[in-house]
Amino acid sequence: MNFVIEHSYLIPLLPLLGALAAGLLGAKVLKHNSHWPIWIGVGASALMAIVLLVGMLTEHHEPGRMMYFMSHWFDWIVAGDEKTGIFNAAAGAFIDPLTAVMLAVVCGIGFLITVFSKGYMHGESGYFRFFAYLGLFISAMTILVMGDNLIMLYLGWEGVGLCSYLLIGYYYEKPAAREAAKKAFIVNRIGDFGFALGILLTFYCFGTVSFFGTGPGSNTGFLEKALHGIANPGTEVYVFWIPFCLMLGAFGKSAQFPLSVWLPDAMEGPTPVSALIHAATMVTAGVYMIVRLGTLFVGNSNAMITIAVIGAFTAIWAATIALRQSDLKKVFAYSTVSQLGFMFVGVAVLAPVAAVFHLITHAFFKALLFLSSGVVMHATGGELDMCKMSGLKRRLPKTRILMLIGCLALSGFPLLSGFWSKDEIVHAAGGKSLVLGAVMLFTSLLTAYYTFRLYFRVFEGPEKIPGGDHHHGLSQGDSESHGPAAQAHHNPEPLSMMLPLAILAIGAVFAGVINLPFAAGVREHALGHFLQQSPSFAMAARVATAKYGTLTDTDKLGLGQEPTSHVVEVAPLVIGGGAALIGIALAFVLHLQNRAKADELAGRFGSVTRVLDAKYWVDEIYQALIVEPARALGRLFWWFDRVIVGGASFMIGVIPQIGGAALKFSTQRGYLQGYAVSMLACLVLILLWMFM
Amino acid sequence: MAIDLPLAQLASLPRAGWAPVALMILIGLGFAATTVIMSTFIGPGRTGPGKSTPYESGMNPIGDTHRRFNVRFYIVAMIYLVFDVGIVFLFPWASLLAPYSADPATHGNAGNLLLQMIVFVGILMVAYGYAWRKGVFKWD
Amino acid sequence: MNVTQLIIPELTLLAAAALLFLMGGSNAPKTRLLAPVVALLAMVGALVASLIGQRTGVRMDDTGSLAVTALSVYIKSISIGVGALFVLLAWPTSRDGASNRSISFSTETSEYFALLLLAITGMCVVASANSLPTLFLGIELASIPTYIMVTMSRPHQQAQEAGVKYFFLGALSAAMMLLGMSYLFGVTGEMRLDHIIDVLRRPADGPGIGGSLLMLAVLLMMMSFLFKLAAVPLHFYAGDVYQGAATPVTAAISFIPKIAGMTALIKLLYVAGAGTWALDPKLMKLVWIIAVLTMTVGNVLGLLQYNVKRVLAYSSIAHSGYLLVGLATLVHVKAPEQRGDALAAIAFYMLAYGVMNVAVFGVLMLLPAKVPAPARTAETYDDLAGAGWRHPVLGVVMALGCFSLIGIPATAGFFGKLYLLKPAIQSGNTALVWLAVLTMINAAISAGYYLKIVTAMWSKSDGAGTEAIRDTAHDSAYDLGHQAPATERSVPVLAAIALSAAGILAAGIVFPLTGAIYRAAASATAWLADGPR
Repeated sequence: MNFVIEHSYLIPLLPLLGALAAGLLGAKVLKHNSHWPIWIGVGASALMAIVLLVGMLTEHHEPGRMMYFMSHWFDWIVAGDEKTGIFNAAAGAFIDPLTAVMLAVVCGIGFLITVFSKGYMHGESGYFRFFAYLGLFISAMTILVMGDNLIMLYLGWEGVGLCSYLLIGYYYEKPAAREAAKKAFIVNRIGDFGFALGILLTFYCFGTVSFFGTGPGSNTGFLEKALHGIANPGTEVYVFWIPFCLMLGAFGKSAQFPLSVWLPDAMEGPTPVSALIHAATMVTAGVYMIVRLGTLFVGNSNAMITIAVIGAFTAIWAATIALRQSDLKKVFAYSTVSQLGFMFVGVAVLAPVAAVFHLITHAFFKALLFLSSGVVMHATGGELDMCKMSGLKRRLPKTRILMLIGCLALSGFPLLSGFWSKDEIVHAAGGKSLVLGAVMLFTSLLTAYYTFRLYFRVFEGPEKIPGGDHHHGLSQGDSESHGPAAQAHHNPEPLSMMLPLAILAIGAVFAGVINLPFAAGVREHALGHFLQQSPSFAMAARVATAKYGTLTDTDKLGLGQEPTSHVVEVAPLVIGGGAALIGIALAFVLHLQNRAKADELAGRFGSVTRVLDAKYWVDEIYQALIVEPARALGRLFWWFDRVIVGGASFMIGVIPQIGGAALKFSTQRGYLQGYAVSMLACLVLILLWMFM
Repeated sequence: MAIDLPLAQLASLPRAGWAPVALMILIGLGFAATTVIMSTFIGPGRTGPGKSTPYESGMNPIGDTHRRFNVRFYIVAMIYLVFDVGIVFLFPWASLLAPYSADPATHGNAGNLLLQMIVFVGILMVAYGYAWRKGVFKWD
Repeated sequence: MNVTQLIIPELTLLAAAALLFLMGGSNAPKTRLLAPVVALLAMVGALVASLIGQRTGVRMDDTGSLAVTALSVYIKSISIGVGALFVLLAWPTSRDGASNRSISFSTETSEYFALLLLAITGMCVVASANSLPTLFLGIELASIPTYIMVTMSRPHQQAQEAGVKYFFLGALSAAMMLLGMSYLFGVTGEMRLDHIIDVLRRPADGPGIGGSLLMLAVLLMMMSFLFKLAAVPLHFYAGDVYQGAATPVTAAISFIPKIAGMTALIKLLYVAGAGTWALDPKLMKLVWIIAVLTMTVGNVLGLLQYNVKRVLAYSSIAHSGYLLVGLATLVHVKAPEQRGDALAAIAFYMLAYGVMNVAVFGVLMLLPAKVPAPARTAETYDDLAGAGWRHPVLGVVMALGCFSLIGIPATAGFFGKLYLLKPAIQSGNTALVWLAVLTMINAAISAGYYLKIVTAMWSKSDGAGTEAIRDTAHDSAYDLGHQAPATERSVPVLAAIALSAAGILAAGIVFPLTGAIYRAAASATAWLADGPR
């Protein structure tokens, strides 16, 4: 572990080198072996991340002591002087339990997905490009979770945003992919603007952008300054606004309402990308950011309420849209938006542990679900419309089991990972507000319903495979046009694709054990106890204690503190499991037993169906409220630019040319005598001027 | 090195001080006159178009100045300059070296002075050698 | 101190030049191929000697005609360093060592490098000159070889014409310098610069010593140095000469005389201000006006050209203008630390300019001309059309060089301009703030032609009717003596381009490096800014 901490820079560096190798050599030299540098780079990073996590887990733990390691890489940007305040964005890692957990998720799942991608992307044009972007993404994501200051966080943040943009637009020949990439990028700009503003305000108020400065206890980082209320004189009023600015960034990256519009469209990217970036890792960056900076948020109840409301609203809103989607990946995309809403609710109700817990389990089962639908897509020749397929279980028996596991976990089926993590969030939300708890519970029910609607439609029932014959990759106009030759006679479930899925499935089933409410082989609330040692959590808990006096058991658990009593509350578990079972049962009835009934029901509630089918017209509202006015403004600016600025620059261009022509034809005629006379004449003029 | 302009001193000198100047003028005039007169007596007295041109350098001094003449004249002139410039530096150096090395205060540095002149002459020799190798002295 | 100890770098270069002249006597291709190696080794040796010889304080020889200071070491080092790049640019690559893509030495390869070394030696002498004769000798030693280099660089009438023009106008400027020096000597009775300062400072004589005669002396010398800089109104020759010479020579003559002239100019104004920069207000105004005129005229004339080398000639005039902006700032500001900033900025800009120049000219000489007369390598916009697509690396370097010359961030040129304008703006002096504004407007104008070069290189078209022209060109069989084979490798030129491109980028992105160079420039010039020694 010491090696890993000492050489922590290797974790982002190795995937980056891999990306460079794949990017520079891929086109000409490596070609179909372009995955190797990424496998090696990301694999090494994953190994380091796991060594780090295991090392920190086995480290002797004293209650109440923070565990962290700081690793300074180099001075990146140093500006300013003593008078104005020194802006120092060092490149360095801050490694605490939160970082270790995030790194393990990012690198571990990232590695599995790169392995999966080899089989999945086989024969694609731009194979190397895909892997280069993937390596770059992992590198940026590790920088994001390892950085010890806001600038590093922002660097990683923008890095993953860039990779997301590049990978959504991977099939850039397709207009839809291009549009989706642009949309993702532009919507994220709105959020990132808020984030940047938040960073500027933080520096303005606290005079530093470092989380913990020279270390917790030194009072040099802004989190600690916020904890002790030490802001630059006269700036206290702005401290209040920092969380709101940062929040905007988090909402953009994590696709919360109303900045969620980009994520469903982002499914135009290759499926492994959807799994890695738009489900498991990048979109959780917003959650990570708020958890990391919890100290700023916890004390600000207005900010917490805002997050809770937005999160809960997004959760139920996206879940309802998912009810009517027929594209597999779209369903999962809305599901992701909804689950991210859960995480934000978790953060907002003083349960960051639950949020991180859900982040981890979600990463497993959602990656599993996306990759499984990728396999389906492979088998059906790029078809993703669940109305056009049915009963795939005979053709894809292994995938069916994996998909079933993923769906059960996502639904919150008792004892699977999603059950435990979702339940914690619902429980904590209920503890704060019954309405909030009820909303989250109902959303869980909806989740179970739409998940199994998909499962029953696709895998059960009479067999119907799109494309007519069993040779896939032949249908035209696919969203991912796989080379026909590449897949035609292949086993649709090759080992290199099934193995990562199996590992993810194991995670989806058992990941819950890391934070069980009771001891079962592992300690109860193990994740909470581990994260509690993170300075971010410890400081957030101190702020919460200071603000609310004594905390309830739920809050203590949510913040990773030791609860007063160890009684396991069974009721929430039963209710949560019940909701999942009801949802599944409903789906069973409507989408397996009696599919006609489902259509009839949809017809009966035509208006609701229309609203849901149109996704609440959010895109249209965007178009009318934001895009059109912006376009009008743009036209105005264009006119201004064209006429006023363009006119001025035209003059800047023309006047010198006229002057130049005058000079050229008067003084630059090529005669030696002329030059000499001109020189002397000018000398005389100068002398005259000087001595007059 | 501060060179004091001697004009002011000259002006204040007594009359006797001008004697060397007068002598110099006399010698100059005398030398010119003597050579001209002597050459008419001793010279072989051959005449002809070539001999009667000034400088006897093979060039016609009368006519349009804007015309071509052989570029070798310039090259030879430049080689002459190599030695001319050499003399300009060598003479003052030579006249300084003797008192310089005689004076015990500066005696130690005389070797250096010699070295510098060797470098200087060496550079001149390089130029001379280069010109020779390039065939400057071949008239054809 | 003994003079030989002070001029080891110069002696190294001189010895190598002498050796090269002797080698020039031989007609064997092997000797010609050996010549650049000798030149490069001499450069490296001189650079090392120059850097090792770095000491604090001023070291003078017995007669006081040379004074080696931190500034001298800095100027020597950058001129030798950039000079080494010029050796790479002119490296003969044909099998008989008589030419490379752009330059045709015929049999005079060794002589060319000897002359280059002599010119660099001249710069070094200027850098440490402490008396009027040494200064004159240095300037002329830096200039005269360049006249010959222009003439011999290619067997074409254009080059001969350029050389003759350059020589005659250079002689005129030398005459002005001598006239000025004689006045300066006449007024002060001293040859040594430090003694002249002492005389000007002597209370008995008063600050007004010499009055208008002193001013006349300063002006005449200044004009001559400005000629070396190709500053307005002594810039007339630049376009013709730069266009006429072969590209590697153009690169050299846009750097060597410029740096020599700028160094001499700084020394002159230091002396004229009696070491305290207390100059006549009218003289200050003159420097300001010349700075503005130089950049504006350079940029404005650059817009109209069709020949890229001529464009770059006017660009180099404009860059002299930017250097003069630094000089104008230097003479206007009152606080010593701001003077230090201005001096450091000038010193930094010299290096940055030299490096960017090598990149741009290097690319130019690797691209073929569409019509192989009068030059084989690219000269016009038409030659460059679409070249970026055929030679992407060269296209990128050219873009980088042009961006740096404009002063776009993330390049060395950006920091060059930034450092130049910083003291001007900080001073709060109205004239200087205006100067800064005019500089920025000029940078915008200059973008007009630099971007034209870049767009030409990356345009999709292949130039108008090129095919036809190329065919007729082949038919006419224009003989240029040593026609370079198409497959000729130009590794040294590529190395020079790579080095300079790396330099531009490194100084633009690696801020610690930029800072280190700037600090070196600042510490080299600090003693000048402080005023009385």
